[in-house]
Amino acid sequence: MIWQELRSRPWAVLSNSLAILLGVAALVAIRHITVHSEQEVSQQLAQLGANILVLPQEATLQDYYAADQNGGTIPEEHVSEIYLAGLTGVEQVSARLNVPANLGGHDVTFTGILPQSELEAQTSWQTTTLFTAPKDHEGCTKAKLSTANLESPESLVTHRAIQNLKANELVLGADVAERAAFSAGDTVELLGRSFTILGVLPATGTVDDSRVFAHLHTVQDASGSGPVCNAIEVIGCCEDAAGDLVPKLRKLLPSTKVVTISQVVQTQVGVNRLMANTSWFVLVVLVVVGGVSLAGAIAANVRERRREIGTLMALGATPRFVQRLFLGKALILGLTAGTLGCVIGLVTAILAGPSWAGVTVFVLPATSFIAVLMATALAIVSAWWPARHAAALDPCLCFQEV
Amino acid sequence: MKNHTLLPLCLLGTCLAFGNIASAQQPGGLSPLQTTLNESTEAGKFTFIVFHRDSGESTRSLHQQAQAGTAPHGERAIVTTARVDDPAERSLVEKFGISRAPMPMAVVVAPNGAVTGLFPRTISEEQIAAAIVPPTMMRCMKELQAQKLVFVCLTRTDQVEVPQGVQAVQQFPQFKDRIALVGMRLDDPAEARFYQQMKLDPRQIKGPHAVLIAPPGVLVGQFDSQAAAEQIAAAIHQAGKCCEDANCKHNHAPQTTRPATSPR
Repeated sequence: MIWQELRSRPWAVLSNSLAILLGVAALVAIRHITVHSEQEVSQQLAQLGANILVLPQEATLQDYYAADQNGGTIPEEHVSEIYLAGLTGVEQVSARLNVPANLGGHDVTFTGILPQSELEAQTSWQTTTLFTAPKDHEGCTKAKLSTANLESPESLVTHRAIQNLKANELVLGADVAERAAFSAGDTVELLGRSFTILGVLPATGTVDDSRVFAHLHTVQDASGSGPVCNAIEVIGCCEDAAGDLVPKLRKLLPSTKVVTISQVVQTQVGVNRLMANTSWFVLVVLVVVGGVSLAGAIAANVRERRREIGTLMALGATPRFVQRLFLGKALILGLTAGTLGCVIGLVTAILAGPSWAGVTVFVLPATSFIAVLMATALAIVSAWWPARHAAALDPCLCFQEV
Repeated sequence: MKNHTLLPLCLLGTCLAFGNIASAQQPGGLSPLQTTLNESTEAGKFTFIVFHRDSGESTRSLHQQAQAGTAPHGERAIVTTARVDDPAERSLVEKFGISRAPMPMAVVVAPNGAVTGLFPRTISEEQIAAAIVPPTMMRCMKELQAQKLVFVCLTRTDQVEVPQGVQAVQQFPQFKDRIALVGMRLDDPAEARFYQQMKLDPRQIKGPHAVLIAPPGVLVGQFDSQAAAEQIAAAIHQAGKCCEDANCKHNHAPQTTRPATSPR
């Protein structure tokens, strides 16, 4: 009976549930992007919380991983100056220079990095500063008892540094390797020089996937850019150390911009907050507009079907049956609109997530289930009063109207 | 007055230029700088090397500062110059890691080869005095720059007494290749500066006593004859943690021994 009612008035059904459908779609899309964006931010903070970027003054802050693609340069000698300052808590210093290049017919970012093996002398400079400029240990002072394993190319992803990289060696980002169909051991031409591919990085979902890494001095020589870099990444041993390092680095290198990962992701945190608030607003709109719309539609339906309701009751249908009939219709409308809205929201989030918020979106089953459940519950609650009104109709009065 | 200033500058410029020609003229053996360092080692002198890219004003100024600052130290220090881009000195430049460092730069090398100071652009008398380090500190710095854990064993005689716990730690597989023992006489006034830095009171020390310093120069603790090997190992592991911050990367590092409170 409910099915026949729905089939006989498809446009009415669609218009009745449109508000719920759109509300659920918007809610699901926003929640998915917000949740994944928040996860991305917290992951970045956890992984890179102790990282500091030294950038040219004119650099803008949009994305930590792309912060070294601003175009401006700073002298590479700042790396030595940071080590020479003997700052407490400096774990690793890594300079980067990016130049555009073409590899196998594909445009790539050619990124110069300094292997840590070439900074071993600089790390021993800390001994001289600790002995010849003695001061009480403050904050994060630790002994260097072991070093992170930076031997494999993957350490560029895990530790943002590599131990050894010869002048003629390359490490490819995942996307570059896939597009150009290169693998470890291949010999390639880049900026007129011949290189051997040392390895291919695992996919990270960041701009590093479309980069080709080589020795900083090789990139400087090949591009003719001189002894400069776009960014220097200073890795503190913990967030406390990083916090203390920032003002000291700003004082040491006044012509640069010194920022922490927290400052880089601040914009993203703001966007997340806005989206979270928007999702609450959409929820209110969904409840008010969707609920009122459906309640009005069911009430109108009850008024239109007074004679049929009267006939049913005259034929023996109980008020409970009539009430369940309208609630069943609301249930189907809510469930269908909720499910369709959820699917539309998911597709929107998956398609738009990377461009809107720079995050890859996966289905959140709990969020999707709650959205459908909420839409269904809202439909039932909205239909409750009109259904009760229908159940309370007197069949005699209905026939008197005929 | 002008002539007095001009003459040394001209002489210095000539020296710097002549140094470049001289370095190119060296036979296939040692570079001029390496030769100077070897001579300093034999003479027990600290070498103040003024590395430079050009012979400009800043180089002359740093050279003069080094000359003037080392003068009070008489026979203990010499000043020399080298071009950072001189092919003959490439190996030393690479060894010191200064090929891309700000220039000019004074690098101080102790008689035993330890680098005791690096001073870009300027050098003060205080920095020069600080870079001429006491004998034990010089040996410690050499070992620390080789990434060794240094036990400074304190003694009042010529016989070095090593606490039993330290001897036992030397046998631990994870430490046996990384430990260096350095003896130091407690009654040597030349070591006074080192006592102060290690927060030592020689009057309080009785019997075998060792101070542990870990790279890059972190004072880990002091251990007497009562200290057990496990206690010392725990202190070493504790020193590998930088702080109590839960997010500290080193707090997640695998620990072979449960860290104990170290006497830092």
